[in-house]
Amino acid sequence: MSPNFLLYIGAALFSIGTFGVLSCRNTLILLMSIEIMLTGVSLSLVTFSWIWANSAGQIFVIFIMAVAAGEAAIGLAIIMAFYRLHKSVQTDKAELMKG
Amino acid sequence: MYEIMWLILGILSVISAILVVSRINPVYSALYLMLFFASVSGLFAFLGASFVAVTQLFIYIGAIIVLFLFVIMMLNFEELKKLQRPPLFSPLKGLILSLALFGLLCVPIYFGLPSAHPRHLPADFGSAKWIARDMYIQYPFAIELASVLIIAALAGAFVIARIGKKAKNS
Repeated sequence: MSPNFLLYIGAALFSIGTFGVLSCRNTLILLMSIEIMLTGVSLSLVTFSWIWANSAGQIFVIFIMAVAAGEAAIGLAIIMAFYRLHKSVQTDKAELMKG
Repeated sequence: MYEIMWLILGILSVISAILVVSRINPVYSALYLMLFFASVSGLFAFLGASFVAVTQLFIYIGAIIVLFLFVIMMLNFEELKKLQRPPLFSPLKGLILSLALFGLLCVPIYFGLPSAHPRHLPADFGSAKWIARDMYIQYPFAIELASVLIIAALAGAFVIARIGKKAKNS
């Protein structure tokens, strides 16, 4: 089996994360879908790093992990503030800027 | 041997990702997300990236999943449990869009890449020393930027959480 299989897996994970972002109304699951998208990209990068025996892919994955950690902290703080304001975590309650 | 583990862990990761986005209760989503991260970490390990695999386990399962579970615990759990999938935006549109995106992503993988067989891997491929040598020589500025980003995220999380609290008290 060629390592292209893992690139297809990475593309499938990115698409599943996109589906979650587009269709979930729960903001917690929406943040988890963003994590799934980032992990799919990480899988593709590590696969490329294995194919070409190059270290740049794994270094980028470490930077992606730093960004994902910061993004999870900020996102969960936003969810806490949102829940205090609206007593709910559903995205259709976010209508403060609706015209 | 490698190929069998790639197949098993890849299919496991896709199935657990689908289970994450299709659950209604976010606690089950967080637990399936843990399974997902563990299987992707196994894929990293079978790709020779041992340091990245261990870091994935530490950061994602050890920190991010625990953070998600803490936030779910702080929210009102009875409120979360009765959330239904709302009928306003049908999942069918999201399914069509994400399938189209998957098709678009598959085109360059199928046509653009040569059927790759790996180059000769160095003996210390994927070890912390091998990564750190290239990272600190080639990307020192990006490391500084990542540290600034983490500090900004820390301060921002404090500020955002306190703003919500003030709005509640007033």
